[in-house]
Amino acid sequence: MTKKKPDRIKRRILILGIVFGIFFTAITARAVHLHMFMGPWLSQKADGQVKRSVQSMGDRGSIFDTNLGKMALSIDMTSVGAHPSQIEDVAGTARALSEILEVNRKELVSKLNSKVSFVWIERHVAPQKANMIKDLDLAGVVFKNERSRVYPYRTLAAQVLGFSGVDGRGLEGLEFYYDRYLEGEPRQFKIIRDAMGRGLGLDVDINDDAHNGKNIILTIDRRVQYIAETALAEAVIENRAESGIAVVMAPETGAILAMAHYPFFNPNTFGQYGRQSWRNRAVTDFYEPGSTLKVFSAAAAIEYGVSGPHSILYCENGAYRVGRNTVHDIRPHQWLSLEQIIKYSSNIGAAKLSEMIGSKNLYHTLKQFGFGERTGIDCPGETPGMLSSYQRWSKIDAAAIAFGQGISVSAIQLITAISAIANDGILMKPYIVDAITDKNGALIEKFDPLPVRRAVSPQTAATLKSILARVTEDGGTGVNAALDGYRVCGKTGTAQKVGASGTYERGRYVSSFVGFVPSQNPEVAILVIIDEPKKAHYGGVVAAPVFRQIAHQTLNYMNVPPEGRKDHLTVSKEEEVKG
Amino acid sequence: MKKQKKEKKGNKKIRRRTWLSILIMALFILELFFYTWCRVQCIGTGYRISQELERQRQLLVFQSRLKIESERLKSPDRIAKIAREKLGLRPPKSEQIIVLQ
Repeated sequence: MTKKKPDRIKRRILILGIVFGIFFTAITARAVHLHMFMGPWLSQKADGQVKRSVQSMGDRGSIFDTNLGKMALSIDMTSVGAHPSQIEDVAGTARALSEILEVNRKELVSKLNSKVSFVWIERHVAPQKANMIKDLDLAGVVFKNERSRVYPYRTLAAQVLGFSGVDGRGLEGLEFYYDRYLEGEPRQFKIIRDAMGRGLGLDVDINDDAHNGKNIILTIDRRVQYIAETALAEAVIENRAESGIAVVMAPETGAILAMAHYPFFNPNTFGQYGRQSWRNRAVTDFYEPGSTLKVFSAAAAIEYGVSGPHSILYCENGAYRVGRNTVHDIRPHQWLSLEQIIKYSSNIGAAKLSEMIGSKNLYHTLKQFGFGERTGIDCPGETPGMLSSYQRWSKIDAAAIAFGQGISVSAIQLITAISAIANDGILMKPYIVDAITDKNGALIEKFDPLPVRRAVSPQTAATLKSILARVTEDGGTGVNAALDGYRVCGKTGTAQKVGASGTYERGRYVSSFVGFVPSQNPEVAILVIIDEPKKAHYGGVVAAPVFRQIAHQTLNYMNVPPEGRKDHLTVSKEEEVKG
Repeated sequence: MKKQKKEKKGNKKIRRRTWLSILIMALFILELFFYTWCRVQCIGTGYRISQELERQRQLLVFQSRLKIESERLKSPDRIAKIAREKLGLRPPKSEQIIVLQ
């Protein structure tokens, strides 16, 4: 009896051991199976539940002015969206959102009632508004951070900069032209979230600069741009004109210092403005230059030895017949030298010069100055203007082209051509982007001044300079462009506009002034175009004062001393001042 | 006597085995606790990193807004307005300019 008890216990223990053994073996076998054979698949499945692969674009590069002022940059903005199915009170939500976002309530209600899983309410909302909505804690309303483009100087150089859309692609201006540099590259990263949706902070690199877009540095100086825009806006408003363009160029290099347009537009809210106001008209549009083209007719006459500055021509007392047409002067003149033809802007003088030069030579000179072809400026949509071949010119065409009718030029062509005279006859390629850098400012590409060709000889350029300086002296058409302390070289232009019928229309003019200053070693070339001024229409009355205002303030800003001044203060380190 | 001695020896062996088992179990349990503590710490640190990254992102947004504000304050339009209206300044005339060499 006593022997039997331990045996039973032993047996039970044995059975229990066997049962546990089987269990442990099964568990071990399963563990081995899971780890050895199903491990990779299970890891992937687990990862899929917490890790999410996200693709995003690197930051768009910034645009700087020549002094590294940020003209365009990207920042994080909040966009507001909604999951319509999760909204409890559609009417209440729509009312609250429409009040804060100032959007149409009816449209909002239809959006919130839609069957889709997600709708955007408004993208790139101002931070204060986004915070106000967040505070309401509305069910079904969600917030998403998106990169948005900001132009801190608002309307300044807006037509040049252009703008980019909500998807971060450049749509207009330099934003469009340099999109391949500015645009960030796509990057992929993993987000790790727990079951509650909380981030676990692994594998996310928010400081990833490698995929960011490049920065571009402009030749534009925001202060010169402001000077040009202010003067232009005042003139357009005062003369009740349709619009205006002002371009400031460094003649020695072809660098654009300012390119102003009026009316302005704000690229931060570009949708609120018409398409017409977006365009960089200094580059894309052409117009008949009128008398400003006489400068280049005079250049042809001097270059081909047809006339010197003091050679005289009979100007027919104000009316000169060319074939079946009659060319008129505003004031009748008898004998005028080439210098006076330019100074008083005689159409008849220019027509006679054209006859003496010959169509082929005039055409060749105009081509040398770059008319009828694109300058190659780094802005989108450049027009080549219109200059037909001399073989197609009639007698009146040749005469009219000599005083700026029957030819169309862009503002950038005209200022580049006048800069060639300032630059001793060398035509430079205009450019607006000085350099491209990476996100940290390291130089990637530098754009140097590029001479295109010699348009005229240095002697011809020097003679033209002295002729153009007479235009702004007493009695000249450009006297309103004269500056105290500086000798200004320039030329006025007043061109009638061609209407839809193809004929010149009365009362519709383009007034312009183009010139450079100082006459020796010119620092700036400036072109001012005022479209359809109502108060007055002569270039010398409407555009020349704008030139003077821009030139005066720009030369001050650039520290260009008045010519011929001897009252210099000398500062010396070596001499000790006593007293 | 011999039997008693043998029994004593057997008990000693069993006790030693029991202690060894307890020790091994304790080691396993300790390792388990240590591993769990590590995992909890790791996840906690992950949360903290995530929060700090979010804070960094918000600070970067704030910084970029400050940069925009700074650019707006430097805008030529604003400076010219202050110079003109508050300080009564205007561009100098030619005769007011003294050139320093």
